[in-house]
Amino acid sequence: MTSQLKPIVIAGLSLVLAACGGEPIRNAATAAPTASGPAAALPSSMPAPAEVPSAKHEPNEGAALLALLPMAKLELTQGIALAEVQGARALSAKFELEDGKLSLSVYTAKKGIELDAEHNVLAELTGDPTQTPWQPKEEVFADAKHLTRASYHLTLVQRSKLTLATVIERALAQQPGRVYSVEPAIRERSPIFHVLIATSGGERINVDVESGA
Amino acid sequence: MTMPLRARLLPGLSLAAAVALIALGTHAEDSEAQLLALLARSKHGLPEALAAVRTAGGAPISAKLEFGDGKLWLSVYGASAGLDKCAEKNELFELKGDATADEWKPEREVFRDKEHLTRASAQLTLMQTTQLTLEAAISKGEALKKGIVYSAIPTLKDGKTAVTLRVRTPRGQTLSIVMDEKAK
Repeated sequence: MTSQLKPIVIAGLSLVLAACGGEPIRNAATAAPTASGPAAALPSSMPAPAEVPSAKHEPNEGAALLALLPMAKLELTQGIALAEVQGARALSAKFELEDGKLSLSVYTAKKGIELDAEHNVLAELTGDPTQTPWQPKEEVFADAKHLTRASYHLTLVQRSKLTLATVIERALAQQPGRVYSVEPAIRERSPIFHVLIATSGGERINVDVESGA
Repeated sequence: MTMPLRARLLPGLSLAAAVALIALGTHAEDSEAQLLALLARSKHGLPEALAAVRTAGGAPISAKLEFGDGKLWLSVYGASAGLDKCAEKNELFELKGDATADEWKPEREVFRDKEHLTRASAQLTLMQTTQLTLEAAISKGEALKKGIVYSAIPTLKDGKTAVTLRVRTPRGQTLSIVMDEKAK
């Protein structure tokens, strides 16, 4: 791996410590830097994810999600940009299936990332990405699951020197395709970003981008 | 001659109200001052609280002596499932008990509210991204400043996880130290 590519690691060889929102293919997609096969076909001997993803805000719908992805009329980066208004900062973003329909979700810290989670307003924007303009609904989190998850995301983004847009840019430099999920995570006690990319061949690739912390 | 109770209390209540308003602005400072005044009466230290969390199989994520309701308390935040589980899949709680009692008998509260959930989640995430333990940070801080650490809270320092320590020296000085994993 060249020094230029050092910050970007194809994820396969990593077990993610304390992962909160990983997705089932992440281990499978890590076979090797040259791995390109469909995630489902990857060796079953790969270690299982440390944790089972929760139902919401995790792109665990696999093939069905990828089948609908071409219907999205905006890219993840555009959704992130649309969410980052009035001082808000995006913490994670992904396309996902909601009741069988394609949805775009962006978690935000409405007061930016200078304020900690306790003093921030943590929210999610979700909306139909097949419609233009994207008109997301906002939910300010009040429940334990989403508060703790968004707080985790915010803290990791605060530890990073990168914006989500930069993370996506770096991931695409390593693995061309369409990014459908970007989430902060922890690997070996270091903050990273999981970036999931759909390739033109219909494959799902997980790229880990070091956070620069 | 004695005044009726109500008449005697009213001026006092007005004064108390005014004092209360003024006190709102300086509550944090007052709490700190009262904490420091009572600190010598503590019969228990942070290491005991950290050990209590570890004995139960959890990971401590912050600890402090604090003043509240006229008492000195020893409090520790913990994650039941340790550092390998993120906040969402963990149980975040506090052990808190009277620090001046002969035996520290903390009550356990599992967090359900936004303030504590987000605070504890952030603290857990910070402790998950460092090799430094609270025990090591406290030990280093006490050795460095020759005092007693009465607060150890994970924080961000230049984009890295660190632990902010509050130390009371034998001369009565109060110091803050930000300890990261590279600190000697």
